[in-house]
Amino acid sequence: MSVPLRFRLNHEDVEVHVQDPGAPLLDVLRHDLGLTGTKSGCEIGYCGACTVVVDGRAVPSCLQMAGLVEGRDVQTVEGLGGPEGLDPVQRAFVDKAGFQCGFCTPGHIMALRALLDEDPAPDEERLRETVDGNYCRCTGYVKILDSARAAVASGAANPDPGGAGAREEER
Amino acid sequence: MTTLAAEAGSGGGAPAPRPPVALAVPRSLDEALALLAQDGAAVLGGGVGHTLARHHRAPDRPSTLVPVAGLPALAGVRTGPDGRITVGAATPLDDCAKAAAIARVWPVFTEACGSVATGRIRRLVTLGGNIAAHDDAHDPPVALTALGADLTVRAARGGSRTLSVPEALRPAADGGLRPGELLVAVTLPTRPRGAATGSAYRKYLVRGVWEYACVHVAAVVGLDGEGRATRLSLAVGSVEGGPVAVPLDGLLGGRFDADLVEEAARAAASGTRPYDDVKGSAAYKTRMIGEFSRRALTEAAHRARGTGHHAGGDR
Ligand SMILES: Cc1cc2nc3c(=O)[nH]c(=O)nc-3n(C[C@H](O)[C@H](O)[C@H](O)COP(=O)(O)OP(=O)(O)OC[C@H]3O[C@@H](n4cnc5c(N)ncnc54)[C@H](O)[C@@H]3O)c2cc1C
Repeated sequence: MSVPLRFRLNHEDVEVHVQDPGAPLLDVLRHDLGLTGTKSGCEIGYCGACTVVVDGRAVPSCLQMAGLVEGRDVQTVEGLGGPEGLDPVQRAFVDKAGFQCGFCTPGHIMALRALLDEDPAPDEERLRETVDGNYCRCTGYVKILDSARAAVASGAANPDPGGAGAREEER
Repeated sequence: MTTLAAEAGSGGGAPAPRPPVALAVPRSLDEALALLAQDGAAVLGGGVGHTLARHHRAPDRPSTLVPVAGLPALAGVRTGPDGRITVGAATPLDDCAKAAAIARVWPVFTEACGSVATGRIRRLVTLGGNIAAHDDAHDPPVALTALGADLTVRAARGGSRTLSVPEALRPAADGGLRPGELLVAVTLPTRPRGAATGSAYRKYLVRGVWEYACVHVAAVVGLDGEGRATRLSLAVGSVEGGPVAVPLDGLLGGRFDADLVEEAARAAASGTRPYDDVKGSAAYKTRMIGEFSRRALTEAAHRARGTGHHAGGDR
């Protein structure tokens, strides 16, 4: 038995038949949809490697119940960039060498993408708070924060202001 | 439209550690209550607890989850005509932490909600789910214990009842939330007129970054014009039977000074039983309960007097 789950994924409507709507979104993305850019780390909400953007807000997809994304907007790292090249946040990580093994990188990038969609000019504290939710076991975060600052400086705000990210206002 | 269908029983899926659940989305509060009256049904708040529970080998797994986030009765922060603030049980903790109406009146609750994990997780976790999980390590219930908040609870049969914290946090047999009951809202008391009242929450994190508390303490202090204590409420979490309200009535009427704070901190340390875990030994935590009780009470009194914010320094 499987149940249909419909949501918007990386700007496209998708319908996926899931065995268990109580499963984490992480499993549906990786196993049912084959989108393995979202990494599975601790699976209990600590490491942030599985961070995706739901309705414009960064969430750990291991804690996000799949059944609860019905009708909502989900963005994964696969949805970034396009024919014109990398998303400016991805570009900043490449330019500043903001990764070593790369396992935590999609989570960092999605968390920063959500932040910049909401606030194109976040201060240092907000950048640090955002990075706080993602473990990196290779680096000392110096280059990750450099990348984040470079993304802000490059004006990496959402090129698609009508997109999901523009909807949520920080209270 | 892209259709991506997983074949039933296909080998590509994740190993399912537990049988699948069904999600039954209610259109009204009454429908939610009717669904919850059925065997094997459970409330679905933010779903963080239910999603994590997949990793556990709990024998009694719900077969149907009833998501309540879409029900207006459970949503948002409202101030009633009597000035009491009511927080819908499905309100995410991030919204609780950012509600200016709450921060103005009861910063202890603002701080407790804001101290939970990271913003990313606070957006998912609901106040009702945090409370109903009955976990003595959770932060908001500690603040609600010091405040003496009321919980509005509904069931398909038995209508509505109001429980007060901390009684509401006890097992069902001792008057707490019963299976099948829906926590609808949390109502915070008003601040008494005539007395200057302040409140503060202190959470001690051994690593210095976000996690569950080693020790966490909530304090509410009321002072009269002469600086005498008219209210002293102190609650301690992550202890046996917690959160525990420390009885301090014997100190009421005394001048709120360093000696009074010292006595209250001693009462908190001797009247609570923390447990050994990775965050510290019970003996260490007992000393920290004393220290953080001191800090929470002192800050609450500063706020009551309006002598400014003395934040931080808890790491
Ligand atoms: C990485 C991480 C760090 C964390 N750190 C902290 C922390 O520092 N402090 C802290 O306090 N907590 C912390 N938590 C725990 C979190 O607050 C709990 O897991 C919480 O119970 C999740 O709430 P939810 O709304 O997602 O719950 P759900 O999974 O939806 O529900 C949890 C339980 O409550 C019941 N329930 C939900 N809503 C209601 C309702 N309205 N009425 C009746 N029953 C209801 C459910 O049936 C279930 O039994 C952390 C969790 C994670 C993953």
